[in-house]
Amino acid sequence: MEKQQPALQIIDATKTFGKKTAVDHVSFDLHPGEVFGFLGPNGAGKTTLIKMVMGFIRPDAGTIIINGFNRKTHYEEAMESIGGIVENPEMYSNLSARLNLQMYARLHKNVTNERIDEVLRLVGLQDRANEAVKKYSLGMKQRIGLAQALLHRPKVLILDEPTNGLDPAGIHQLRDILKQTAHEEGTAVMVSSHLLSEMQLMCDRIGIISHGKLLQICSIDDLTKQAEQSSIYRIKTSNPEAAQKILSQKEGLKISNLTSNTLDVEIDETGINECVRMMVASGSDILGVQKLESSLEEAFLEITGGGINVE
Amino acid sequence: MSKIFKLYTNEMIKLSHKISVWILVGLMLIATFLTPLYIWKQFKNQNLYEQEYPTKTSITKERDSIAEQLGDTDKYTKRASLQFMQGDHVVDLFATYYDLPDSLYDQYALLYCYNAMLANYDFDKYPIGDTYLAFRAYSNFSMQCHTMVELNAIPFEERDTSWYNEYINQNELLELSRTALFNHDYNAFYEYLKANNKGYYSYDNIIENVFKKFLEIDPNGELSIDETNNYISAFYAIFDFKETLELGVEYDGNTYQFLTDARKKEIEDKVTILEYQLQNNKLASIMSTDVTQANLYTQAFPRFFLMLLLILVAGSSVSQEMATGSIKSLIIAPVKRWKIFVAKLMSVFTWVIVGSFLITLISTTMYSCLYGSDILQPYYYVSGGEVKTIPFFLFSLLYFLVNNISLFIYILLAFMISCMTKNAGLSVGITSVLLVGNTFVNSLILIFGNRTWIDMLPSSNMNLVPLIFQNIILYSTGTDEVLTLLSGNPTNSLQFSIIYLVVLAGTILLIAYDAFVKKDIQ
Repeated sequence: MEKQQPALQIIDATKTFGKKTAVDHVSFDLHPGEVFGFLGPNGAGKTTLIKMVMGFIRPDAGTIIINGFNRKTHYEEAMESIGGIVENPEMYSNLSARLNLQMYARLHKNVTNERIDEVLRLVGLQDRANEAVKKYSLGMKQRIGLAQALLHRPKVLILDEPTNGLDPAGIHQLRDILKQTAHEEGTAVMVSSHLLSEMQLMCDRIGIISHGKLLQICSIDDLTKQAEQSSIYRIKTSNPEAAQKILSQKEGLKISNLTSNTLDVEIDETGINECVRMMVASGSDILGVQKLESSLEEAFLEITGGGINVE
Repeated sequence: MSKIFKLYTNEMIKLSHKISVWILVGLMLIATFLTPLYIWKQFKNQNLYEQEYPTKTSITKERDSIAEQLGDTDKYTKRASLQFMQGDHVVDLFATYYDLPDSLYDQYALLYCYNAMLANYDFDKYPIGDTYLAFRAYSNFSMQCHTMVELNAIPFEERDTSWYNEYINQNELLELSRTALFNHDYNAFYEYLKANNKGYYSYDNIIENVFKKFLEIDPNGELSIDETNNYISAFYAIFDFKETLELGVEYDGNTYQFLTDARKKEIEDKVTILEYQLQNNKLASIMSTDVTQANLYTQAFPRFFLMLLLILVAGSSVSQEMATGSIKSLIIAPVKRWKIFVAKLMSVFTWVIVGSFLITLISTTMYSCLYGSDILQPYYYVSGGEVKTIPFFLFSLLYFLVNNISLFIYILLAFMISCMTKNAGLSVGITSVLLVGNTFVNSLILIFGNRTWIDMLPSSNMNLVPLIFQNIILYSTGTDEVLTLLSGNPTNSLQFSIIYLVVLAGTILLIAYDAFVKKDIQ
């Protein structure tokens, strides 16, 4: 992969509110064409960081560089390249969606009326664009918010909890739009969420934040691989204790949660085959083997020290 | 800069979609439209500008009613003869005297006067009230008639040399005023006025001077009542001002004050303007002056709605966006925050200008339609010794803005509170309370009079009209005393007030700027 200038650079960003450090020396880069998932439990500092990048909050320290422009010294040039939704999309509710977009477009360079029609079609609101936004449902408001965020073809697109209020079809569509925007138009997309499952489906990389600190950044592939390496399997057997004794001879295996007729083992895919063979060989009966869950969440909980909403 | 205008365009679009804005604009326009109509309807049937002058009909009517009360007038008349020494001569008199009860003196004198009038005066040729000259001759004639009756009422036996001297003197005066009135020869009458007014700085002296001036303009008393009144008012004002300048002292209603240089200049300018108007035949009629002032002052009613509108617009400008969250789409946009601040401020002030313009335009048009387009006078001022004018419409607009300087402060205040709170209702509410509070303070000032600390209050520095437009009132007509009472006299100098207001506005703006531009938006 050729070395490209990062679309967004956050260097050592820090923000404290009173005694609480909401964002603590966070640094990372966002590259063109990637979808970056910003994951963390409620109150981890996701929204504060996003508000800092979007110009709502002044960082106490640190530098934010958007599309090569330092936000501090070249505010307007930097902000020209950014689009997004913070928390809920809020429009002028007594104005039509189209007028809202036209007003927003006026503040950017080179946004034509054709472009407005284009984004309205993209989010599927072309037929109701002339209605006042106050008549819109929450999902429609999310869509018009997305349309506004995409309007000026930003180099960096930041969406804070974008799936709130969307129906499953809408979520699916949003994923498609985001992937398309990132992969085809080369936009760097950052999506924040506390829902891991959502992140898995749309992100290329994930950054995990907790208590204001950025704990880890990894690609979704690595995370999946890591998860695949050790999954939890529930083995149903008439004598779990005997089985435990047999399996404990094997290296790289963790046994947890012993009940009267099951035991859970944490091991990779090839390992479980051997476990089954060992139990069969020793004469233990196997009533069933079940893969319990991807341990991505487990991994996540471990990294963040718990407190995530798992759905 | 272009970003600010784009933001400004957006602000105006947002405001133009608010129903409350249009309701208040509607009310404001209706009020502007109806006030002149109301004034016109109220006063159209009252002949405020026509004085009651004697006519043949009125005099005949008066004469008949007096004659009826008196009954047979001959019964009051007695005749006798008398001899007395006047110098070296023996005067032999056959005299008439009236044996009148006290209550009937006046009646009889009037009857005497009316009879003479009806017998000698040509009402068809010269109505008495047409000019100042004729009317003054008339009132003097009736005064002399009265004096003659009084002299004749003195019992025959009590008359002596001094009575005789007085009789001769009064007879001469009666002849003078008779000539002036019946023959319209006012010169002799003027000479008499001049000879009989010895006091230099006196009211009579002014009358005499006015008479002389008027004699030059209208030697035969042919001008209409309106024109006469206008000239008289101007003459009186000029002589009054000149007398004040000469004395260097002015009575302000309570005490005598020495004229300051500024006040001296102000009076001199007024004299210059009045003399210019006289020379160029541009004297404003009293009616025109009153309508012009009515136009300026009745704008206060629509102003109320403009004030509500502006406080609503300014008060919700930032806070409402904060409350609904729509501010986000402004913050995300590639515009610096101070530009948003400036654009919002500009949009608010646009409504001040547009509102003032509309109120002035509609009001001026209405008054012009109702009273004729010539009625509204331009504003006269003196610059470099020359008299210059500002067309009425422009003057009216400027006047409105200066008169409503407090509006600017209240808007800034509402805007400031709007920047500091997320609650539009709160900011509109607080400003409204301050508005009412100011009215309360103003009434306190009326009660407690002027104290030093009162001079430092904002409301004491917002009455700039009398300081800037000194020549609105050139001379006194009936209405302006009320108007002066309403607006009050500024106690601080223009420079002080302007600096005060600039500092006040600057402070408010600075707080607002700090609250909006520097603050994090959560």
